[in-house]
Amino acid sequence: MGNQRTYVSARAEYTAATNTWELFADGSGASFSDPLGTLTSRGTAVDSTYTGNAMITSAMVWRANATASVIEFDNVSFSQIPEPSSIALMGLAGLAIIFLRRRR
Amino acid sequence: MKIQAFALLITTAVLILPLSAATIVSDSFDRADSATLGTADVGGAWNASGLEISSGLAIENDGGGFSSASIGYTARTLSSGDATWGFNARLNRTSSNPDWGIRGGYGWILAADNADIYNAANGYAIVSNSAAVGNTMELIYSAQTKARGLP
Repeated sequence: MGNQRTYVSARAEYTAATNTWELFADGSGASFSDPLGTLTSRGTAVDSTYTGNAMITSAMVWRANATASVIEFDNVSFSQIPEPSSIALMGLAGLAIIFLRRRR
Repeated sequence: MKIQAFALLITTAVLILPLSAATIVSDSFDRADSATLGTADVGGAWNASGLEISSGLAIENDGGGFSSASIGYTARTLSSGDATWGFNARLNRTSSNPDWGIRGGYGWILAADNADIYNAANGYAIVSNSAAVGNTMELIYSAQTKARGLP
């Protein structure tokens, strides 16, 4: 196998409002791409089976046994944009009421 | 008037802050070679084409040499906001075909609800797929299965 290498860049996106998942992945075989950049979409799916669970960990898993392989991970990232919480909306409503009362 | 201004300030903060993207994990592993690897390497074509969400997190500790590196973070539900995961992986062979049983394979458990990822966790993962369906990547969710989904 020598120095032959395959490079894979992948990204998953989850849209909370619709529980839509989309997988992007490319493997040029020559070099890494930016995982957060332009990658080919491999499809979408809708699933909410575990999206309400409290997630506590992420993990890279690999298996490289005697006859194979070195598998390396790089440029790992995970980000989330929280939705405005209902508490924040309630707070906004409360503040609006105070504001209106004082105006009168 | 002061109270009104304060209320406006708080309201603005409450509305804007939650909309900012929160980076939970960002790790380059300080691999200086990530930008330069590849130009002189021979790589095979990669025909990733699949996305499948199905039961069976196709990763388990079967005693055959699985390894993992966990990245813990503060508990969060995915339904609380849009999320994005990204990673690069490099294999020292010409195909991304994982061939888990013989030569190895890999996956990234994006989010799991239990630290025991092999036996107790539910969650979502991207895995390199089996030879049976081609050299694909899959986005899957688990059902606490111990089944080896990848041959």
